Amino acid sequence: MIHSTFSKGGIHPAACKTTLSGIEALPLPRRAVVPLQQHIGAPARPIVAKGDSVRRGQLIAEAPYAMSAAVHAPVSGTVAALEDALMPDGRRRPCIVITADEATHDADETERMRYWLAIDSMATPDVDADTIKRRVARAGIVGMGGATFPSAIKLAPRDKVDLLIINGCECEPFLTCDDALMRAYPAKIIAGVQMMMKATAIDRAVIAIEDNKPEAAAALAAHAVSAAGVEVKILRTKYPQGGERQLIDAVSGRKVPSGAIPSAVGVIVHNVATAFAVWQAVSTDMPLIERVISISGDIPADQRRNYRAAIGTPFAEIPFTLPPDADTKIILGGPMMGKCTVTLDAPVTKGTSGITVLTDARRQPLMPCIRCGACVDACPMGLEPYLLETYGRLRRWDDARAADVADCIECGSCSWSCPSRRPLLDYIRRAKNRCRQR
Amino acid sequence: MQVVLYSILILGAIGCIGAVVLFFTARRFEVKEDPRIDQVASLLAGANCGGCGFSGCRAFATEAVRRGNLKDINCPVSSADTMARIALILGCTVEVAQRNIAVLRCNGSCQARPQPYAYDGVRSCAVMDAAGVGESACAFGCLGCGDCVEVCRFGALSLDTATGLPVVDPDRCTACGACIAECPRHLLELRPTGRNDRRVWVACASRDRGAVARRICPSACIGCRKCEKACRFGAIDVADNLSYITAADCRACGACVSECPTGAILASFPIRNQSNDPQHIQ
Repeated sequence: MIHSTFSKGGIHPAACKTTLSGIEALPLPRRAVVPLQQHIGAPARPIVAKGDSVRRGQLIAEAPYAMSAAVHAPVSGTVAALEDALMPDGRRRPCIVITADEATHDADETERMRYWLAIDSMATPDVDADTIKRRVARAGIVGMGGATFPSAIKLAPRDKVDLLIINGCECEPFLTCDDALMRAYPAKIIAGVQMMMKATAIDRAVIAIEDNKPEAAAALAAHAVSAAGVEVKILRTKYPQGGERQLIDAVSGRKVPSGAIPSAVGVIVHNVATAFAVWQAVSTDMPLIERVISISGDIPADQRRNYRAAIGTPFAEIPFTLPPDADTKIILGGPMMGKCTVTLDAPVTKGTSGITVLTDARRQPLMPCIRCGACVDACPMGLEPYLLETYGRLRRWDDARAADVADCIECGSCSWSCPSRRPLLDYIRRAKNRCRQR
Repeated sequence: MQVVLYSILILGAIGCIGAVVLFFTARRFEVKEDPRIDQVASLLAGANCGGCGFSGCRAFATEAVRRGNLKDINCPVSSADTMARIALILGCTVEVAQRNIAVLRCNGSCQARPQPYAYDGVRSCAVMDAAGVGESACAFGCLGCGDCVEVCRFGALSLDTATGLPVVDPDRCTACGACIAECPRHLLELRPTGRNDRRVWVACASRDRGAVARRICPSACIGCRKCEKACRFGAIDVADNLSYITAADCRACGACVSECPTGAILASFPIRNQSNDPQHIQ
C-alpha cells in the first residue's frame, strides 16, 4: 500500500535509526543545572533562593507571563546557586543549580523507580477540560518535538479547530526517542491524546507515524481501536514530514497560509512525547522533569540508546565514548536541524531530543552553483533556495523578503541536496534573521 | 530627384508637426523642479549610503531644499566644507555638527583570547553568531569574520590579520552607520569626538561576571569600577558587569585608560604613564 505524504519537495536522507530498543533510566544527577528558559517566550521567574532545600518535582520557577512555562526541581537537594551557566551553544543563561546529597539522591531514585514500575497500572482519571489545561500549565509542559512552545497555550486555541494531529513522525535521522516512547507507552499516549481532545473540544485526532516505524504504529493502532475519534495514520517516510505545515498537508491536505498558524485552518499539532507528558501531568500530577533522549551516531553500537534523563542532567553524565577523531561533531538533536554543542557541561532541557555524534562531519569545500535546481525540488515550502542564498550572500534583504524568505522552516533540505555543497541554509537564515529584525 | 524632394518635404512636414505637438505637450506637463536640488545633489558623495536617514543622496537634497535649511538634517559623509557650500546654495547657515567616528567595543584579539572552539562554516559574523558563541568562548565579543568590513563603502574598515579585529580608519570613517547595523553583536558604536578628534571608549561588551569574563578573555572589562572612581567628570557608569563611558560627559582626559587593570579602555591618543603595550593605542 502506498501511503500519503506531503506534496511539495522533501528529501530521503539515510535513516540511520540504529539505537537499541527500550528506554533505560539514566541515574539522576548529583548536580542538576536547570535553565529558567527552556521554552519559547519569557524566562520563568525563580521562586527559590540560594540555600533553600527543594523536593523532586517541586516548583522552583513560576511562569506569571503570557507566554512562559513553569520549571520544577528534577532532583531533591539544596539550591546551590542561581547563576548563569553554560548552554550548548556556548552562551551563558540564568539557571538554578541544585545539588543532591547521598540520602536525598537514593530516596529520589527509589521513588522514581517505583513510579516507572507502576506506571502501566496507573489509572486515567476522568477530569474536565479546565482541570486538564490547569494541570498542563502547572506541570510546565512545552512542545517536546524541539520547538518548545508552551503546551497550555496551544490547548486554548482562539480559532475554531476541528482536528488534532499528533506528531509521531520523527523524521530526523538518528533520533528514536519518540519511537521508543510510542512502543513503550502506547496506551498512555492515547489517553494523553484523549485529554488534549477534551481540553480543546476537538472530536477527531490523527496520530501520524512514518512507515519506517511499523512497531510503534501497530502498538498505537491496537490501543486506538477502543478510543473514540482517535486514529493512527501511517505516512510515507520523507523528510521533513515532522514539520508542522508538512504534517498538516500530509494528514489532511490543508495548506496553512504563509505567515499564519495551524489553527487558521482548524488544526492543532502536538508531539507524541507532549501527549505522554500531558497524561503524566493530569493522571499522576508529575511535572515535566524527565524526558526521553536518544544517543546515537558514530559511537559504539551498544552505546546507542534511549535514556530517560532528568532535566538538568549534564551531557557529560550520559555514558558514551567520543571517537578520537578531531573533526567529531556533537550535535544536539538530529543532523538535519540540530546544532553543534561546544560543551558537554550543558544540561538536558525540555527540548533536548538527543545527541548525535558525527565523525568526518567537517564541511567540504564548496563549488559554484550550477543552476541544477536540486534545492528547488527539495524545498518543502516551495521556495527557491538558490535565489534566497544569493540574496542572503549579497545582502539584498528587500529582495529576500519579496522572495518569501520568512516562509523558510530551516529544515536544511536545500543544503542537503546541493551537489556543489553550497551552504544554502546558512545564508538563507542570515537573510531571514535580518528581515525579521527590520 | 523628385522622389528625394518629396521625401524631404514629407519628413520635414512630419518633423515640424511633431515639434509643435511636443512643444505644447512639454509646456502643459512641465514639472517644475527647484534647480537647487540638482546643485545640492551634485555636491553630495553619491554613495546613497543612507547615513542621513533618507533613502539616498537625491532624497536628502530634495528634503534639504524643501526645508530651506540644514537644521536637524545632516550628511555625515560630507565634509564641513561641502556642508558649507550646500548651506550657501540654500541661503542658510550650517551648524557645525559633532563629528562621529565608529569604534569597536571589543579588544579581544585572537592572540590574547583563547579560541577553544572550531568553526568550519561560512565565514560570516551573522552566520557564526546564529550557530553559537563563535570560535572564542566570548558570547559578546567580535567574531572577526569582517561583515562590517564588507559593508563599509568608504574603505574605512579593514581586518587586522594579526589581531583578527576590524580597524577603523578615522580619516575615512564618515559615520554612515552601515557597519553598526551589520554587526550581529552590536559592537561598533558611533562615538562623538572631542577636542582634536579625541575619543576614549570601553573596548569590551561582555556582560559576564568578572571572573568568567577574565577567564574567557584577558582584555575583558570585569566591572571592577576602578574607572568609575577615577573619572572626575562622572562620565563612567558600570552596569551588568560592564563599564560604559557617556561621550557627552567625557572630556577625553584619559585618566580611566591608565587605571583599567585589563586594558579594556582604549583612547585614540597616547596616554602618559600607561603601562600597557602600544597595541592599545590606535
